[in-house]
Amino acid sequence: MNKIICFLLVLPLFVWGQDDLLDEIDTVAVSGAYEIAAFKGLKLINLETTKMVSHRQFFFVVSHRFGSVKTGIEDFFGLDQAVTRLNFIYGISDGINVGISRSSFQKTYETSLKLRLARQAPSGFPVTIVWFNSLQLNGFLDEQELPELKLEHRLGYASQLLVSRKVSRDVSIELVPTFFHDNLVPLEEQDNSQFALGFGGRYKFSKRCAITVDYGLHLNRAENSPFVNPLSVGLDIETGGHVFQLHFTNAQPMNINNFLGEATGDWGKGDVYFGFNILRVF
Amino acid sequence: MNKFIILVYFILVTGQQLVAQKYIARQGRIALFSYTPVENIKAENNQVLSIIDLSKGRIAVSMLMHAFIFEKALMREHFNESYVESDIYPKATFEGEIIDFEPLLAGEQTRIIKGNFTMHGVSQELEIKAKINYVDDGYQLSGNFEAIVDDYHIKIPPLLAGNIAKVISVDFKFEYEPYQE
Repeated sequence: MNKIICFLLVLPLFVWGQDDLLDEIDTVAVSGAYEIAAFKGLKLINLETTKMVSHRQFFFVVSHRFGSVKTGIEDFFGLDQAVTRLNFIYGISDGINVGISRSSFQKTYETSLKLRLARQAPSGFPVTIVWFNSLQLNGFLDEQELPELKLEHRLGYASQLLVSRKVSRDVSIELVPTFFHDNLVPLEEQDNSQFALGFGGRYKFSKRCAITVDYGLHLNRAENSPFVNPLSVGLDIETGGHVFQLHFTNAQPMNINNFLGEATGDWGKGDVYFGFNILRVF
Repeated sequence: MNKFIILVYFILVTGQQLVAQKYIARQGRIALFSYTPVENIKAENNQVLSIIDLSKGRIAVSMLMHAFIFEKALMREHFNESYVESDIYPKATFEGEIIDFEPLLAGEQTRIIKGNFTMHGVSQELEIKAKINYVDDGYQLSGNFEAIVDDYHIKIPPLLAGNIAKVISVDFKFEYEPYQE
């Protein structure tokens, strides 16, 4: 009994001598920050991602979709039929972005507003939620051919919730419930108000490269519609100030209402389009 | 006899605590600089923890990598994701000894600090020259050293070799106050 008391009394003397200074300041919780870089680009391929342009930063995105590769060497696998989109995005704050773009597909002008509602954190909220809204104007419709045409007929709207989760270092997934409305639709049977569910993801196979895929499931397409759901696969290459995204897709247009509503390619027949998005940060 | 033993015991235990005085810095500042002809990159962390054990002249430093703030948010993202990989190695630490430290010397003294710096999961033994200033029951410690990026197994891709320096300059500044456990 005495020995035990003796031992207990002596114990602190030894404990004191063995402490580790580093352990004493090793008390701060590591996980307090948000998950970063679920996606490299502002777009997965066609779908918008939850990535935001930071406060006072300016992104310039050049996108191309060449013509169908099906035409072969005659059009040099689509090079002669390219659609181009130039897109400028500015970060008013880390959670509020505005954008303006022009696409050569139907001479489309678009403005966008992107708002981040929630962020994924390692020991907090499980997903990042961003609300994306766009207004687009079709500049291609001709008043000579359509005498009744008013400005409103040129307009289309889209609103989507982007819900993403960085599952691991390499894998991120995204779900995109979308509502869009065209004041003028190409097909009489087609509802002007349309719903779609987009989904996709990325797999990073090296530090700077990732494979991406996205798909848009249209939920109320007219039965006789010639248009199809867009499926795209791509490769992301990040080089610091630039992100290069190369892909194949069956949708040539790049604005939400157009690629969800008016994609025409067919993967089964090799009728797909090669394209790229290049992001430049200023 | 028993009382005597108890007395000796308390003198030993409490006496040790008096000698083993510790000082802590909770908002230490560490700044990183990368100078290249293409661009200069600067990052700063104002939340660095450090502790000094006066009795042994030992010092420890711990910092969170994601607390480094860059001029551009994208740089911070790349720093954490592609270079220091802060999701795997969230902290960098230093543990070492201040050689010939004289805690009671008034004013400034310049000393060598020798110890191990661990970053990106790699430890390197460093000898760092630092100025220590004893003022108003506290210590100020400052200095700088250079870290070779390659020593810590951090890879700079050839494409960006012109933008990021191979040797990063590190400035540090700590203000210590007595630490009550």
